[in-house]
Amino acid sequence: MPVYDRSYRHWDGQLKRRAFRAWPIVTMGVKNALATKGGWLLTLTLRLFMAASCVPTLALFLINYFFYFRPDFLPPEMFKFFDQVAPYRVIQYPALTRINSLFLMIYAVLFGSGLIARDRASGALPLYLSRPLTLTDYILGKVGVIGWFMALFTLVPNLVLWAVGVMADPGEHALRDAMPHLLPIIAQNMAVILVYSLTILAVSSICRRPMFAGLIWFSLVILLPSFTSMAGSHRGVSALAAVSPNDALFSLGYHLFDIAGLFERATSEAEPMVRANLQGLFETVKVFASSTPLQATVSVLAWCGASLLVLVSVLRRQDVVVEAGK
Amino acid sequence: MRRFDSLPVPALPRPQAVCEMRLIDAAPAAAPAEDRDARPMFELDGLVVRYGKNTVIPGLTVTLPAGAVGLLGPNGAGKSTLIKTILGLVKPGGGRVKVLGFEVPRHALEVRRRVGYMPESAVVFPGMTGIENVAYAGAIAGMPSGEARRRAHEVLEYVGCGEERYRQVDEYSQGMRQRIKLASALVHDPELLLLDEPTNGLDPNGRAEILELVRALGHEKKISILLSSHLLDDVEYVCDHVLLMARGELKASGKIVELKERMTGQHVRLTLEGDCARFLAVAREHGFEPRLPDPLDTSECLVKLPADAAPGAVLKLALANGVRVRRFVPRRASLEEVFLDTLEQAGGPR
Repeated sequence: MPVYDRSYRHWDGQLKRRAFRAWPIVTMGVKNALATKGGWLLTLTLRLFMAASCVPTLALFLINYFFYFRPDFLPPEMFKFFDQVAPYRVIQYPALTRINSLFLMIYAVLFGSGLIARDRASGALPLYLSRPLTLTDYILGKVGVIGWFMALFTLVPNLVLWAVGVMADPGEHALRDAMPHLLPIIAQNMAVILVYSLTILAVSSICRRPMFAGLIWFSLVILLPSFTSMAGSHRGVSALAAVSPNDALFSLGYHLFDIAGLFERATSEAEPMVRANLQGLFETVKVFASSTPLQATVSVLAWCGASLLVLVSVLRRQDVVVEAGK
Repeated sequence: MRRFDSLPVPALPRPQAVCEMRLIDAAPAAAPAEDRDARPMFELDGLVVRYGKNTVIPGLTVTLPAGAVGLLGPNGAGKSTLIKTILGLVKPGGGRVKVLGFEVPRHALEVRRRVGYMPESAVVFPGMTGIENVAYAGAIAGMPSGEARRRAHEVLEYVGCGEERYRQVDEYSQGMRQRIKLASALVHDPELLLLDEPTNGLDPNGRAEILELVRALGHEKKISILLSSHLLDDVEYVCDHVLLMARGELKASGKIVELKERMTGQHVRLTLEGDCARFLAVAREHGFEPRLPDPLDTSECLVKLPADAAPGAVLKLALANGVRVRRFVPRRASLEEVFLDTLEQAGGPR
């Protein structure tokens, strides 16, 4: 018996039957995306950008902090204003999602455009599918990777904001009062995550170069629909505005959080000066939510459905599955 | 279509622990009841594969035993397509495919748990180091992540990948990529290894090392191997059996030794003295196929005997025609000659 056997040894372990077989794809994909290999300048830029994308969330944290803990250096009139707008603070959730969606576009291009395109270019698809994975597992894994980043900048900040708000609120029924906001937060942000993730993956699946995928996605999903959205808003055709996924997603949040109801209450109950301020704020918000609930829902479902259709039909093609890569 | 299920099936003992693992794994997929070591590598019954309107495999029926089998054929013979069909990557257009006792594509996942695949192109998972690549291959096969990393180090050691394993695979040479691909195929300890041109792009030393490793896997570690290659020497070194395909059809199958012996008995090299030209003409009339290796030297000739003729028949014919035979040597056929002869009989390398 040799002291150290360097020959092949059989493995005596057991292959796991995971309920979610795509899990290793998610973990490795996230790890890979975070380990930027483009030199120190790119790494630094990315880190700075990630830090910058936390600013809106931090700003809202600060506003909430001032509201609850009322530091001495702030003028008392400000607290009076805070108290009057307190019932309408729910608007912060869709507003944060809207602001963060600007960063999401960049993250979608940075982290999502190469997820399938790179596998296709290198011919790694047969490697995945020669393992005990189905095409569904592969797609779920890739959705998990990009969805992880999307959730990190939409769902997580909103949930943390909500939880911090509940914990800091000295009111007796803080949790009970905040509970109705939880479902709309989850619903709107999940819609954002799904639309962004599926659209970027669909475009990534039809390209072999991440850069092209990013450009095509930005043009087809963000730029062109935003023109139709502007035209729809300008002409008062809400259905046209709903073509834009961003418009549809924000409209969805607007209706889920019942911002219109809040607007009515605000204008009827608040003091004249506060009322004027709130009216200005709500009018601004309303500009971005010009679609009806049905139009917004149909638009979100259509974007998700079409993306999924493209994704599956491309990856089911035999020439794509067995392509050798460059 | 010929059927080759009469080939002997060698008994392949495996370590006890591994056998236990397979039994646990196979439970939910209605595993075949017979002894796993004795079951065939794969059984194809009228397999048809099409790419669009182009039929690549028009109806292949063959049963291959466990062991080391070489898959030979000219370009476009359907070798890679056959491997991809076995894995369930390409859906058959007709017929029945059974791999290690499991129906494909119905139980494709069960087959893939038991099979390691090394593709033809220099493909690896992009954007990772060598060790990450192999560990990732293990993890997506179902190995616990920590165990996959430990095992990845073990197989990388085996394939001769040292400190390079910590470098990005995108920087690897073709040879290193081949080693990483072999390690990835081996990481989950498969029962069957599908190797598509494993020595592509390797220098002579690297090629010899990889062939030695693969041979050891097949002969000492009892992992069944299906080796697809253009390099007949590689196949001859690693494999005991061959499957020869041309245009998606089976042209020959069997043990390499037997195929060579069959051909060795069919050819004799003669050194003649006398009216050689007359002898060659008479020999042709009697069904022999004589040819002159050197057209200027009619005394040296190579004669292919008819299938039912004994080697002594050519001697009798020479004596009857007044030609003296100074030398009579049954020629030893190489695998290359078997290959070329089979293709020639099938109508050339189409």
